[in-house]
Formats: sequence, structure tokens, C-alpha cells
Amino acid sequence: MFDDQDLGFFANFLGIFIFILVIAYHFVMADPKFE
Amino acid sequence: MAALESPLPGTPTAMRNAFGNVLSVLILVLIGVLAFSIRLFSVIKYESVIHEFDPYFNYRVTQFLSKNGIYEFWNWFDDRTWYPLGRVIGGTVYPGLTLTAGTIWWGLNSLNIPLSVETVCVFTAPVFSAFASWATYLLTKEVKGSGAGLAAAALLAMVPSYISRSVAGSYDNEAVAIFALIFTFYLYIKTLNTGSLFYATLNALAYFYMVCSWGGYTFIINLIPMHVLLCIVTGRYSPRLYIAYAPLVVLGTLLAALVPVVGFNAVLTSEHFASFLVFIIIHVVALVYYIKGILSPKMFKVAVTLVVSIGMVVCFIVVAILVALVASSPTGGWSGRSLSLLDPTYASKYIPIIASVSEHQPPTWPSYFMDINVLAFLVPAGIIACFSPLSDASSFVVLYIVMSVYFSGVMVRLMLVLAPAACIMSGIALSQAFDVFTGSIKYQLGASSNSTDDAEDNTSTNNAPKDDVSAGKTDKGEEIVKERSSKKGKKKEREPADKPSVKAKIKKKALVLPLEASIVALLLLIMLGAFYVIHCVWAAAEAYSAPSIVLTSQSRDGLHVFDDFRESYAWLSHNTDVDDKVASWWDYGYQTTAMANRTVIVDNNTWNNTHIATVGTAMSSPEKAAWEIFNSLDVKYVLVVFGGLIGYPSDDINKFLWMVRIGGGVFPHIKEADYLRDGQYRIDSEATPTMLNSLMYKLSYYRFVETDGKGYDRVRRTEIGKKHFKLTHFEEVFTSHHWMVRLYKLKPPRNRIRGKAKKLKSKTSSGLSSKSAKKNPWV
Repeated sequence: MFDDQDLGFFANFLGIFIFILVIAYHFVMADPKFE
Repeated sequence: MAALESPLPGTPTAMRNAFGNVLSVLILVLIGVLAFSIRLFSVIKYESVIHEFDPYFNYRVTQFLSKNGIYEFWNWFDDRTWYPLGRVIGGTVYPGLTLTAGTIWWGLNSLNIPLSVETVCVFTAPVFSAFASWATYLLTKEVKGSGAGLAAAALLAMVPSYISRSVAGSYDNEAVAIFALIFTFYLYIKTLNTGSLFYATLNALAYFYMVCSWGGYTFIINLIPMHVLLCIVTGRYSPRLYIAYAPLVVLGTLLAALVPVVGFNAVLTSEHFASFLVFIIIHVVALVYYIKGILSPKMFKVAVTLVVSIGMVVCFIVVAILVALVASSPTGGWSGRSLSLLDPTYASKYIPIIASVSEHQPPTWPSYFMDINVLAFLVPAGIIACFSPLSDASSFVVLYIVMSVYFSGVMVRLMLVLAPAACIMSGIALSQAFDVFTGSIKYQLGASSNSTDDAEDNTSTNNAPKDDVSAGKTDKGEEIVKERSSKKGKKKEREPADKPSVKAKIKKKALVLPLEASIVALLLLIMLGAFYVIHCVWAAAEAYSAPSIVLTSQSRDGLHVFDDFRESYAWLSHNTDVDDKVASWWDYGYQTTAMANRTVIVDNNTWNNTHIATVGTAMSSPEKAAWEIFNSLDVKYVLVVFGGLIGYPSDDINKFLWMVRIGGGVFPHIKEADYLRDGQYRIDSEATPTMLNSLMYKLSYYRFVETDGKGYDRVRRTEIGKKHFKLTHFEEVFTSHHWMVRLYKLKPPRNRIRGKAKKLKSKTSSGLSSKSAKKNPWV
């Protein structure tokens, strides 16, 4: 059964993964125009 | 990345955008999943059950709606509450939540998905949390672009402050209202950015939904006018501002007046006056701009003098009328809760019923850290980011955070309004940081290899010079903001556009960071994010998932479950007559009607202070006086919550002083001082006789000494003062397993006829004529 510890792991993992994805998004969209 | 660097001549930006869009959709879906799943701890740890107090009422109303339909719902007069007054539910409830859940239930059932009303109610809040996250993305995107939007949405999906009100089972107005609040703000900013009447109409509809959902809609109808005023004062008036505001006031007010619980309050109470005042001001300003356009500068000066002088007179008259109207109403036109927002000491001085609710107290500093965690430190950075460059949209979110910080400082409940603002600001701050670091990394990685690409890109973006790296995004919202800012802004923009600034170049160069430094900084930011995530998950799992109706405690022997409330309500519903009236402190009114289906005297709606004061007085009075009060209200059972045996602190003895205060507010013979020994609230042998003889004391501690022989109260950590006593007017009928709920029945009145007959006998024997006895044998 999926218990609260599993949910805790899943939520922690997903939360951090989303953070990394957000950074990845910024990386993808970054358009550096330095001289 | 490989796709980005792959040489697709002419379209690297398009590729980047396409890949970015796919990534953002994926992130948004995951954010939705996270927002929903992080709120399921309550279901997994406990069970799929409605929480606390107010949600039980909402659940009961939804049940009624799904059973009887919408028309019956509007006309529902509930005779099971506030006996003998009753309550017009249809006219006094914010129907947004109920109608939403009712519609979802109806929709699912018509799709042959047979979910129960309870299941739909339990999961409404998590579903709307996902919606709220997406709405936050949209709002922040309008302010600072997609990157900031995604960061803000991710933060909001798991912010503990919002989780505390939206876990599965927390079926309360705020569950849908926060979504409505953010969505209304989004549509306002969208209208402000586009000047589209379509969005303006949608904005009014979103506002209508908010009015339907929560009394907190007054926050919107004061914040938006304040922003409009701010824009006008800072010379940022534009037709877009007019389109964003005027339809909202007109349509929004008309729609708000359709909600029965608001009705004419939408135009009569002071909470709404600011919007009307700004409505007048924006028209005056619009007129000034129009006249300025058609007159020569000289003529305009004359016109200004004329208009200003006439305007001053008219304003003076209007203000005088408003002041007179406001002053003529008893509370100065402001409701108690609103007044306590402006003057935090108001409630504790004048309205004990407001002050008695713990969520109306000011928060402590730790609660900020608990509820918004690292966001508290990121917010200032976000505010600074909003000022570079300052647009109408970014000034709005700055105003939003400033106001919500103030309001959250007044009332802990309003931390909920602060949370989205804090997430938006922190999202902006994080996004700016990500932009700098990822931009630097990308530049450093690609600097050696694709110098030709750079050259191409530079020529393609020369038309829109950007101030810094963060503005390097090609977001629509940002461009619009720049185009659309006020005339002053336009003038300022033209100047740098003419000579592609050396300053900007210097800035850009200064922002490039070494590769290693950028990677380390990003790793640190990921750690910060991970810390936030872990705190949020912990808060969701441990702090905010308890349904309050079932309690648990962990000890050496293992997990203990305290299910006394449901045990007692089940006892009531099985062992009492369906029309019996149950008296308790108002906290338990909603639960008693929803779970035991018995009539209550007062409930959590707290609309009638006198009625609550009557119950408070009865609880504070000696047994006989209390019996008389309860008997006059047809009460058959009295319910008290007692935590002394297991150490449950939210029991009636701890709330007792509020009963005394509220009772004393209406019935002056109840004096708080009589219940305090030298200003201290005591229940031990030093307690005052009034305290020891009060009904609440007796009903709580009746037979308590039998449990351990000493009568040691685990909440107050002392032995009780009065241990051995008998009840004269009440009899104990039920005490739950852990003594948390105790039910007493009022003893029947003495046989008056017999007593009278005895008296009469003695009187007749003493020579009174028998005629008078025959006259009225029943008295």
C-alpha cells in the first residue's frame, strides 16, 4: 500500500525535481547577449 | 540543449521558444500533480473525512444542495440551528464553494462516475490548489515573464500557509477563494496589459466568483482601487487602466449585489466606498486627459483652473455626504472584522466574539517562518526586482505584498492572503537569479563555439534593447508592459532607443559570472529550494493534516487514536429524539447539526451575539440558574468538551473565560473578575467560589476524581479544586471513551401541579376559599 512515508518521498522528490526543471527552463530560455 | 545548439539556420529563437513551451507545460502539469498530492497526507494518514468545524457546515449545505436542487437551496430556512430563531441559509451563506462542489458532483454523476458528495467535498480543496498554482503562473507571467511564473507556481503549490487551509478534507471557503483571488488579479493585470474589454469582462466574472466564495473579496475591491490610485498619482494613467478598472467596478458591483449574502452591502458599506471614490477620480482624470487632447495648452490651463475649483467643491460635498452617511451607522459603516483590520486592538476592546477566535489573533514571528518559510527572505529581493523596471503590473504586486503583509500582521488567518503574494515575489526573485546564473553558464559554455550564432542573434534583437540579462526573455507580457507604460515612461524609453546604450552594454558585461561561480550558486539555490520543499512536505504531513475531528498521539506504546467526537455525535444521533435540542459552546454547533443531526442553540456562524451570550451566561451561571436558561430554550442535552484527562488543550475550560466575557457583554451580572483569583484563571482549590460553582466547571469535572483518585487535570497541570460534588439539575448520560466529550441531560422540572396542590392544600386548610383553586387548576 502507498503509505504516508511513500507520499512524503514522492512529494519531496517531485518538489525538488520541479525546482530543477524550472532552472532547466531558465537555461533553455536564456538568451545571453553579452558583448 | 543539443536541440538548441543544433544548427537550424534562422530559427534558433523559435526552437528555443518551442522547447521552452513544452518544458513549461510539463512543469505546470507536474506542479498540478504536486499541489494535489501534497494535500493527500490527511487522507492517507487518517481517512477521507471532512475536517474541523466550518467544513462540516459546508458539507451539510452541499448535501442539501445535491439532494434538493438550487432553488430549494436559495430558499432554505434551517430550523435546526440557532433554535428558536433558525437561520436563512440560502441568504446568509457564501455559496461559491457549495455551488462549485455541487456542480462537480453533478458533472461527475452525469458522466456516470458515482462519487459521493463527501468524496467530492474532501477533494475540492486539493483540486483548486492546483488551479491556484496555475493561476499564479498566469499572474506572475504577466508581471515578469514565464520563468518567474513557473517559479512562483511551484512555490505556491506547496506553501504551508495555503496547505493549512486546503488539505484534503478542509472543505472551507478559502479552498476555492484563493484560486478566485489570484485569478481575479491575473485578469486585472491581463486587462491592464492588453486593454481588452474581453478580459475586463472576464475579470468582473472572476470577481463575482470571488464574491460568491469568500468575504475576503473586500480585499480585492480595496486593493485594485488603491493600485489604480497609485497609477494615477504616479502619472501612469492610460486608457488601459480605465478599461481594467471601470468595467470591474460597474459589472463587479452589479454582480456582487446578486449574491444574497452581499446584496445591497455592495453599495452601502464602507468596505466598498474606496472603489467608488476611485471610480469618480479615474473619470475626472480621464476627462482631464481628453480635454488636454482637444485644447491648446493655454486653454487647457484655464480649463484646469476651472475644473479644479469646481471639482474641489463637488468633492467636498461628496465627502461630506459620505462621512455623514458613514457616521450615522452604528459601527461607522464598517463591520467588526474590517475595523479590527484597521485598528488591531478594536476587536479585543469591543467585540469579544471576534477576539475569542484564535485565527483572528495577530501571528507570532515563528508562524511566519512556519507558514512561508524561506519566502520571507526572498520577498525583499522580489520587491527590488519589481522596481527594475517598474511597470503597472509590477507596481501592483508590490502593493499587493505590502498590503498583505500588513493584514497578515493583524490577523493570523490572513497569512493565507499573504502566501500568494510572497510566492509571486519569491518566484520573481528566484527567476531573476536563475536568469543571471543560467545565462552566464550558457554564455560561458557557448562563448568559444558559436560566436557566429551570437552575431546573428544580436542583429535579430537589436530592435528591442534590453536593460539586463533578466530582460533577455522575449516574453510578450514584458514587451507589452514596456510599450504600454505611461507617457513619462515612453519618453524615457525613446531616449535609450535612439543610441543603443553604452551603459546597457557595461551592465550586461558586468552580469556575466564565471562558470564555476554560476554552477555553485545554482546548486546553492537548489539546496534552498530543497530545504523549502522538505519543510513544506513536513508541514503538510505533520502539522496541517490533522482533521481535528480525530486526534492521534504517538507514545512509547504506539499510536493512540482519539475518536471521541464522532463517538459522541453518533451516540447523540442514536439515543436522542430527532427534535431534541443540544446546547454547547458555539464551536461545536456545526458538527452537532452535521454529524448528529440535532438542533443546536448556537453555532459557528456567530451571527447573533445575544444568543451566544445567553449560552455563555448559562455556562457561567450556577446550576439552577443555568438550568432555567437552558430550559427556557427547550434544551434537553448539554455537551461539553473536556481535555483534562488526556491533555487536550482546546477544551471548554480553556475557552471558559471567553464564555464569561461574551456572556458578560450582554448580561452584566456575569463579571469576569468573579472568575479570577487575583487576576489569575485558576481551577484548583484557590479558584473563586463563582468559578467552582459555575455550570461549566461542574459539567467538566463531574466524577473526574474517580479517574485517578486525585482529580489531576493534565491540561491545567493541577489538581482540581472541587472534587466531590453531585449535580442537582443535570444528569450525566454519556461520557466518551477518553472523556473528551461529556453529555448531560437536563433533569425534568419538578411536578409543579403536585407542589402547587400541596401549597393550595395548606392554604385551604388555613382558611382560603376553594374557589381560587378551582379557577386555574393547572397553575
